[in-house]
Amino acid sequence: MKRDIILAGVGGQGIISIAAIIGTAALEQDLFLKQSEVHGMCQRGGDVQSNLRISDKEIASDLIPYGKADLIISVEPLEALRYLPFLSPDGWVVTSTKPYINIPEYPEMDKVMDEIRKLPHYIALDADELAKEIGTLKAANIVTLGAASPFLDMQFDKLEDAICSIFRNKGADVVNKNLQALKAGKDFTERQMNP
Amino acid sequence: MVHYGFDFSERYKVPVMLRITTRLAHSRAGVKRRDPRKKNDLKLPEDLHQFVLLPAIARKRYHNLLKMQDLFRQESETSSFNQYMDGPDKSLGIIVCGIAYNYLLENYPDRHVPYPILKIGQYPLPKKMIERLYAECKEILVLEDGYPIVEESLKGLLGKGLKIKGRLDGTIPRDGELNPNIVAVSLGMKNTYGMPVPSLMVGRPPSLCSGCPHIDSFKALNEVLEGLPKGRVFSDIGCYTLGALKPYEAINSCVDMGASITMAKGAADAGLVPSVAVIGDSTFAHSGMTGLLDAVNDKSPITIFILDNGTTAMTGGQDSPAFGKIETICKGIGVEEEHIHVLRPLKKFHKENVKIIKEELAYPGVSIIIPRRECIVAIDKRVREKFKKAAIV
Repeated sequence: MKRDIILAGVGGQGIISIAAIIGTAALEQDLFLKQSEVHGMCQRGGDVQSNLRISDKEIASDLIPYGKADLIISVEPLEALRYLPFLSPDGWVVTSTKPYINIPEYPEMDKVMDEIRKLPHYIALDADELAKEIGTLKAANIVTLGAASPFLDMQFDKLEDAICSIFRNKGADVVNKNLQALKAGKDFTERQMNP
Repeated sequence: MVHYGFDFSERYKVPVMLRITTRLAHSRAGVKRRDPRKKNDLKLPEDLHQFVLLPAIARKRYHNLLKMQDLFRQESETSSFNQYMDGPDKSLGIIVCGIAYNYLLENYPDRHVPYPILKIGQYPLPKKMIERLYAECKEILVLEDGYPIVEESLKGLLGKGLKIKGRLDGTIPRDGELNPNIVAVSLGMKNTYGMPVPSLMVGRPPSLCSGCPHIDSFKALNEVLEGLPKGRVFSDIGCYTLGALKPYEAINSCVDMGASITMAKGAADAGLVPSVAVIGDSTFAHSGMTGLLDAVNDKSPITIFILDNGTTAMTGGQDSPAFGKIETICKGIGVEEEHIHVLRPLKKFHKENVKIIKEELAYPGVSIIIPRRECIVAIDKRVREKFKKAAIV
């Protein structure tokens, strides 16, 4: 088992939480894990990227080589496209379609979506909308993670356990909302895959 | 490695440095923990001159250090951090350091590299091991992240003859971070670059948060300096360094902590008036005060903005050591009270703020402007914690 994952988004969108949840779940299953914050994780508003590698065998490189990523999980559509050179030909892109427009020259949204629709394997969902239905916009990152969960080759309940342990300090309501968000994302992808 | 380093340091009574290059400092992995070792008993130095670096003592200490070099070299030759791994294909020998070894292995899925490898983790360089690699292989490839430290050292260590490939001959790019692909290409393997980035892609530099108090400070400063040739605002390191980027382009330097004030002073002393320094409240506490004293002593015509957002925002919101003390510190250092102004960096006070800044820029001495408004991320955190506490009660 091996999953090389690129996490992408804009600083402040909650990528670190996604990495922490997958990482915690992986370590709980005694998998090997390497995570590298490749680009400015603490910089608000800038593009951020994290490499996450999990495997049942020892991992060599901390960085994912070009063309080898199994999965790009992006909480923002333009950012999903930024790391395509790293995606393997069989790899999947799971992205939220909600743009984060904080630059004047942000490309036209239709064109961004056209590029995403050109990809051989992708799941595109409006994570903000699904998060809003649950009642907290803040869980949009977890919705996106849920949508990516069928591609992680990991038991779903391990991700749920990781959410419980990571958000425990924030109270039962936060934990439950995030569990719902994870499920909503997963359900979306399952509907797409088996219409 | 850290355990080993401490032991080494205790044994030889020398400082040992752990050198971690770019990627290693940003990587995480699952680790197996071992039991912590008992803390050493507190001990005063046996040699009371050990840390007294008067010239006569320093000379002696340096002489002793040089005498120990042979021992350090011997340690390097036998250290488990320096490993010679033989390989059948002697057309190339690879010297590899630190994280570059991970990248090398990444390119061999079965983890068997056909070439002899010398993995270096401990300095000084293990000369005998290098000589063996040099004698047995036709070419040498050096893989190391960051500066070509080992590659450059080889020049003095080895005779001329074999080709040494690495950052210096262009096999590896001379600058920039190393990665598995660069290593693959240097070994003659193919680049696995995937789909190209679509042409519509644009850069997304980090930016100040919307609602950030620094935005109002920069807008006021820009308005006051409008019409003057640009390049007179010396700044420092913090969130506010983003003010150098569009759309503000309000500051012109970020060199080292505290340099905003000393550079502005230097510029003013050389005749640049007005000359402005922009520094954050925490950076000011850390290393702005000595420069300020110098400026006050010389009555240099500078205006210093101490952007007080009540926290150390860039590093995650730690307390600022000067919290609640900035005016007192400035007065204590000797800034005249009537030239210390606290502003509210808000749109509704813009006009008033511009007027005060303008007046102080015209004053031929040290002025302090303190735009004070809490970091919006810190407010958010504070309010959330308050609600959490309320919920628990």
